[in-house]
Amino acid sequence: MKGRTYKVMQETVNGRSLGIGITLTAFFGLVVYGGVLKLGALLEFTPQTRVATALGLALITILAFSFMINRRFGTHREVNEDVPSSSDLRNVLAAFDTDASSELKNLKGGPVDVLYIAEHAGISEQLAQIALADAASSEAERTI
Amino acid sequence: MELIVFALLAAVVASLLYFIIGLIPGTDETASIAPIILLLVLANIPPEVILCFFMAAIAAMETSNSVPSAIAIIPGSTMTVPFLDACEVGRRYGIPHILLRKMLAASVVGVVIALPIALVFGSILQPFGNVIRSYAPWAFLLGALLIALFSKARWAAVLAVLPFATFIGATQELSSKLVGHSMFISFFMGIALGPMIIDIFVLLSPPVSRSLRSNSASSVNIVREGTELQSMNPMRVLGRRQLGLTSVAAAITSFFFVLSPVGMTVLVGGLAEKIRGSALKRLLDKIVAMDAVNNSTYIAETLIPLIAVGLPLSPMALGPAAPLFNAPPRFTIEPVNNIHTLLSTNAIAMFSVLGALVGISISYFLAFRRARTWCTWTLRFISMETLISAFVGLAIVLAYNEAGVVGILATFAMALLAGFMNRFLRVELGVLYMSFYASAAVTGKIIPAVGDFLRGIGVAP
Repeated sequence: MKGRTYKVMQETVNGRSLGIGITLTAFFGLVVYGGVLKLGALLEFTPQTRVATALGLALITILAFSFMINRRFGTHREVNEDVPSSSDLRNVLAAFDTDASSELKNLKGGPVDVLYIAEHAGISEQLAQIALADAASSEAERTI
Repeated sequence: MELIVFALLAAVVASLLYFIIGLIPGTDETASIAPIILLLVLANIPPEVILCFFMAAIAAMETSNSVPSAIAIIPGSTMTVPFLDACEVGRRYGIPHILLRKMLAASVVGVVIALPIALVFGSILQPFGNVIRSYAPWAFLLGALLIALFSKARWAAVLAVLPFATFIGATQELSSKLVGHSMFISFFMGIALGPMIIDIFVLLSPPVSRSLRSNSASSVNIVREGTELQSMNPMRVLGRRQLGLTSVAAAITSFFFVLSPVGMTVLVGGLAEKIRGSALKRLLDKIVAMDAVNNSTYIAETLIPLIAVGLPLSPMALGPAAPLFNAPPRFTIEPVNNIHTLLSTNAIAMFSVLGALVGISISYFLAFRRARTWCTWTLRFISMETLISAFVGLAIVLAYNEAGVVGILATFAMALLAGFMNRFLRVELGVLYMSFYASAAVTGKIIPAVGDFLRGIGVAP
């Protein structure tokens, strides 16, 4: 999607996508709402039924257009979910064992220094974090 | 029987819909729940079904919003912002999956404890309903001033109450002349969507938007869940100590239904952290207590005012639950004609319990077993543009339904003012809602009384 992207509400949004999205949902929501009200009057529905049907169909229209906007114009996030290899895990566990702090091992002290482990094992902080979750979970569960 | 089946289906739909919305970062409870509830009320859906839908929605959303907080360290909704520091520490311990399961179990405890307390306490307060109702405008004004005083903006918020209430009163007069009746939905939606609308307007102003430009898509790191199988029984997940702590925290905070849920969550988290134990135990105590309070306050703050008085006298009842109290022309507070009067206390209890239990069960099951899968899918495939477009589009249709083009303009005018006050002055939306309800007392009683006084002492003509 062309157009500039901005950081708002802790998310990246495309200005043009947002403009198209709001215009489409509002316009077609109002068209369906107004159209159903007119049609309801012609078919001699009671006022309550007319409003209920118009609002219900407007909601369905808005949701349908939202899904279309999502597929065509949405700015999607990058999700990093690397799974560490067994050698990465071994590296992390080695770093975990060589750490001098006993508090680190029994998980009773301050936070585990992921950066230290990442540096020591020669892997990214993200990967160290994932591997550490595996390494620490069984011990942590025994402790908690 | 048909009604129960209809309510059950509505609860299942609400649970699935709001489970997913709770996983999306940055969503606000009021902005995402209130428009749908308003629409259901105006579409003449039976009140039992609306109540069931609402309780399922709130239970599901307040449970699933823990997932992105714990495993991606991003807030699932406004209420989970206070959790992030503790979640970050949990991540550094390498135990985000354990943290998440504890948070989910605490949510269940929060709901299960708050439901009976709210129902019983609401019934106890019911005989005083008439007295409270007769002082309602003053209660709203007092509430607005109290919430303002204890909010972050403090004196800015306190001093903003009277001018904001006067502005609303004056705008109501104007709308009566323009469309022949006063407006509620347009103003309410304006306040609810204010922060979102102000962010959109900021993008339309080149000097301001330039500083917000970003060339990369949002990037989220997700930590792997533990693969070991664990019991789903919340009592076993929490253990005796945390079960006791969450139960006590949820029970006590349920009685303070007029206070801010965020404020109480932070307060209880701070107190739980002080209980003695290892750093890890204190961290877990803090997070489970906060999560339980998060859920219990939402349940209690809806049900107690609904059963006792039928007036929105809590921050929750003024926000996401507001359409259960006031959605003209069907539900009104002057005179009180809403779920409080349309349903018996037993019916409110039955459909609330049904909705909340369906919501918490579905959300707990989905999050406990497949948290990472759901979170990854939602973050990857549902964009922020979609959500903003849906909620703004819905608000425009609802405002048009109430007052035509004037309604839409009033929504945007109110959203700009409320958004500015919230984003730049940090005035909580609860203060603005309370001021909105207090506007009748301010323009109808306080301003004329001040005028009379000034004329009496010869200062005013």
